[in-house]
Amino acid sequence: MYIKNNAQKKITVFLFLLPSVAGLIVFNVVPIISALGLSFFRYDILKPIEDMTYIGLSHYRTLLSSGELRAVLTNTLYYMVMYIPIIIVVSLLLASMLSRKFKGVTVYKVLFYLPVLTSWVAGALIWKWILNGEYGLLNQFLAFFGIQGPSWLTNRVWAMPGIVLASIWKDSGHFALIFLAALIGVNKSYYEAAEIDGAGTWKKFSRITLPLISPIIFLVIIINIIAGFQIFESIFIMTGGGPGNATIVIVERIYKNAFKFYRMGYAAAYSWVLFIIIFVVTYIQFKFKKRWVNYDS
Amino acid sequence: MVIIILKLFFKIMNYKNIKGGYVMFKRLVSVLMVVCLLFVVVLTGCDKTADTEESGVVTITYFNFSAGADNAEVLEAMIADFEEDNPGIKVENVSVGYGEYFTQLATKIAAGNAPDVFELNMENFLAYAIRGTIREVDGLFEKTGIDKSVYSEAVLKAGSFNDKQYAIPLMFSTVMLVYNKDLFDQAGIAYPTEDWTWEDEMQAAKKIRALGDDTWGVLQGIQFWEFYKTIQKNGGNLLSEDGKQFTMNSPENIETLTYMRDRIWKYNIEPTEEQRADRGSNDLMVEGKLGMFYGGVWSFADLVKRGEGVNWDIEVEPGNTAKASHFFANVGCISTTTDKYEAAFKFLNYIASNPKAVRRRIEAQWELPTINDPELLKTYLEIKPPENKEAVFKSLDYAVKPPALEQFAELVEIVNPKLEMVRDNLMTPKEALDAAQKEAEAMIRLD
Repeated sequence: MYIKNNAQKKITVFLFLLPSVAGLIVFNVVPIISALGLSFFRYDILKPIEDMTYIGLSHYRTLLSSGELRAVLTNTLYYMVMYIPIIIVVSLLLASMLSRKFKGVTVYKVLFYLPVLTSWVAGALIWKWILNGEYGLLNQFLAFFGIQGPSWLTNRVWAMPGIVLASIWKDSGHFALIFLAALIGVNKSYYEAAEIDGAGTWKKFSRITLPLISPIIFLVIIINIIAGFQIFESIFIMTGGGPGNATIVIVERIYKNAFKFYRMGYAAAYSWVLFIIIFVVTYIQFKFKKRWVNYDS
Repeated sequence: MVIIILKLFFKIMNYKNIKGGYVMFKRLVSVLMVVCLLFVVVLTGCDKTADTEESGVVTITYFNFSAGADNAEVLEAMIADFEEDNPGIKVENVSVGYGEYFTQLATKIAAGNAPDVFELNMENFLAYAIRGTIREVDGLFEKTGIDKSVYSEAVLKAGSFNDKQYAIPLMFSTVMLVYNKDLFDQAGIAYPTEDWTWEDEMQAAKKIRALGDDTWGVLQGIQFWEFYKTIQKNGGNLLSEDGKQFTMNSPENIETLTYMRDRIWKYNIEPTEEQRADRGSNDLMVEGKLGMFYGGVWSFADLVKRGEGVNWDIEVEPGNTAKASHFFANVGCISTTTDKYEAAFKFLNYIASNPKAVRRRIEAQWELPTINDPELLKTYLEIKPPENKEAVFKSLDYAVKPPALEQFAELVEIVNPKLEMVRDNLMTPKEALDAAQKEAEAMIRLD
């Protein structure tokens, strides 16, 4: 299509963008802003809307002064400290195996990607069974080596590692695919040059592969930190925040406050706190990425 | 729509291309897809014709959770009976799992899309009644001529608020001491009786525990529901008598919680979480590894099914200075926003008290009917095991109810984690109850 002038071009661009922008506004921007508004009100969703009362920053004060937020953040941190290194190592390993050419490689790619397509509800229910203390598959496997496994999901210390295990199973296929694309993108001549200089497999990996895919590693870390703050389905189904408060996390709190305690205003305040945390963390990461991410390939 | 699809169909059939197997195959697939699409269109069309109903028929939506998978057919049959006896009313049954039920209900009500009739458990009943989402029904009893006295007095209270009836009690359940006769015999002790105390229970449990490494005297668990019941056996309570103050950390309550903890950590007649290893009380019972547990009427069916060869019976729970037994009820509510309240009211009373429905409930052992007709209840008592079925009704004499609070769900979330800290021996009973008291005072309004 030939576009004559600038104004016409703008209209065309606008029209092309309209469907997705409209969706973004209706389903994201409006709720985000109305949540900010709601967070200044006491709003019980079972009561008529006229009963809403303005209470200013009271929700934020309660939220920041209660010990709950600290517990929530500690749990999230505990999750991320375990999950992020493991997911990177596992999916990189998977990716480097899948980047080789062998018979049936596509079948393996599909198999490893299958958990990603599985719904969390189904996956979490299966993992709940796998992690059962007495009858669970994992503990029976461990017993084979003479190890007495814990009652994963009902044990304060092991509940979060149990969730991490399930998350690794669920997500590694996805990140392996991202790493696979990165590995294929690395210029083969670097390896050839290194081989001539007598570099071994580990040297090649640490000196060539790792620096060259560092932007992707950075991306995966950011994605996972953001996703880590938003973890919900697995926890909701597998532990519901328990045992005790060992696995309470932000989104689970938002859900409980909104739909179990009917405190929609408080839940909205919680969401905004989550938004600010993610915003700050991501900003800091972008600020410091120059120090270790290598962008020339 | 159909025409468009047909056009598409002919276009595919006339599509000119190089002839060959692959193309033929592709074409075949396309044709199949078109046929599938046609099916979808025809089926949705059918659905629409079914929707338009003859005038004069009222359709009410019944939103419920308690039928679950086990009793879905029973509920369907009750509804079919009702529709047959009341030709003018149709019931659309929407059953949702307990886990997501209250989320969905709250969302529907908030969106102004409340179901005409919905089920609530008594813990949540008050929260909904206070918020004005439920219609008062006293007037409807008079208007429809349905006799309120078919229901027993005690269960009617489960659906009343401010001395007015707001809901129809649909079913109730009690909790008893379930015990393994064989283990009692092996340990050489007499079976429990109605006047058993904590001390008797403790002695028996110790002897049964001595039978084996993985054999347990008793399993009660330390959680909110067991806690509010057990403290009442010891003269305590969660709230002061006027309901204006929390009395969570009273000396009686601390003493009770200490007793509950000692059974696990001092005497180990009850397994720790680690020793229990995710096995439920029914699992341990059918494996013959558990002397006693506190089980509701809902656990009978499973025990009968899985516990072949296990010789079990029930008795009223032992008490200390007083006796206390759990009482739970589910009630049927009519939304304040519906104008089909008369049909809704008829329907609720039908599934709660119509002899046909009651018989179906008893046959399925779907909790207990709320009517007080002794003839009908007799059929329930005749279904055995357990041998001592009367204990189910005797427990009613000591019934204690969950605290009726607007913020009930929140109270559970405050108290439960602290109790679990005691259960896992990470907090002393006093520390835990002090913390629970403090947090409850800060977060829950009592007015």
